Amino acid sequence: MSEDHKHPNYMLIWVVLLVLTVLEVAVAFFPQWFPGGGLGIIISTIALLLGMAFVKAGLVAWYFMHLKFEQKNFVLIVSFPLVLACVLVILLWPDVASA
Amino acid sequence: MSEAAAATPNDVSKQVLGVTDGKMAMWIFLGSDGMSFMGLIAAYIVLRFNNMDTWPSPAEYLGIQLTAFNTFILICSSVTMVKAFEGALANDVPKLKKYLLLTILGGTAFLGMQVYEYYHFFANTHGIDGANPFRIFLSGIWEGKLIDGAWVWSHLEGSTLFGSTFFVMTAFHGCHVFSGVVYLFFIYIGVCNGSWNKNRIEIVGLYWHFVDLVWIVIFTIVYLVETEVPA
Repeated sequence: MSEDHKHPNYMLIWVVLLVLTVLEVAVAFFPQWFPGGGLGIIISTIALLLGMAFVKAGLVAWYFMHLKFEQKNFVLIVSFPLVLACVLVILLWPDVASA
Repeated sequence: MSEAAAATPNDVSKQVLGVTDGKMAMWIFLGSDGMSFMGLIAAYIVLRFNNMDTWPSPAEYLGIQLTAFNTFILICSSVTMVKAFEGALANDVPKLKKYLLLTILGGTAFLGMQVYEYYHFFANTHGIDGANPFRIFLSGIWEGKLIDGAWVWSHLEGSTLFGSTFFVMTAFHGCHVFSGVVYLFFIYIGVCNGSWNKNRIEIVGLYWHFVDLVWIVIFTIVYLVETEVPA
């Protein structure tokens, strides 16, 4: 694996990460660009910010941490904590609703 | 031993799942470490949504521009880390050393800016009623029942959570960056002494990228997400 895999274009990934960071900050600074007043803005900006953060984290794991070049079984095993993490948040959600 | 370690490539073709034991161990650690971070993040989400009325706007108290620059530094240090690994794969020791050093510098700069940020939170006195949540947090911890502290608490009910959750999450991550810098430093010493191998460089890289990955999430939910309904 690490001996023979091709190098991804790290500089391109770097640029994508930086562009996404700039976009994230722009979303945080200019919420008025988004449609719908009040709660609509909050929901759409949170969805957009979390989406971009997820893409960035995915790029780091996939290319920088070389998951792209690992065996499928290994990728499945190491991404299982991510599933558990999502379950944790979902299980805690009733705490938000009941307060 | 050192020459042998540097010269022998790690044959992983016969290993379980095609990874070395060390790499498997690091991934298992990162999985459990990710769960600890997720515990903090989940708690943060619950606390924040339960206190939305009193939760201050992050943009009002946090230096988002400074932290965005800090995020930039950490992303750059992640890129220098993969460049170092590239050097290790090519047996290019000068390249490996140069990029490892740059990665260490990036991590140190990140920590320095975090200290600067913390310092200014406590030094800053503007904000609601001449107090800020960080000072309230501080007075809550160290001054407890002082008149000033009690006065501020009664006016800003709930917002101590803003300070405590902020510090728990960013400082927990900062400790990871600090450990990463120490870890990288020892790897760098090893490279200087000729006692290194590709597997070791890859494993320290995994840790470093994970720290970057976690910061991407923390930066988004602590600094950028806004729950105050705009007027």
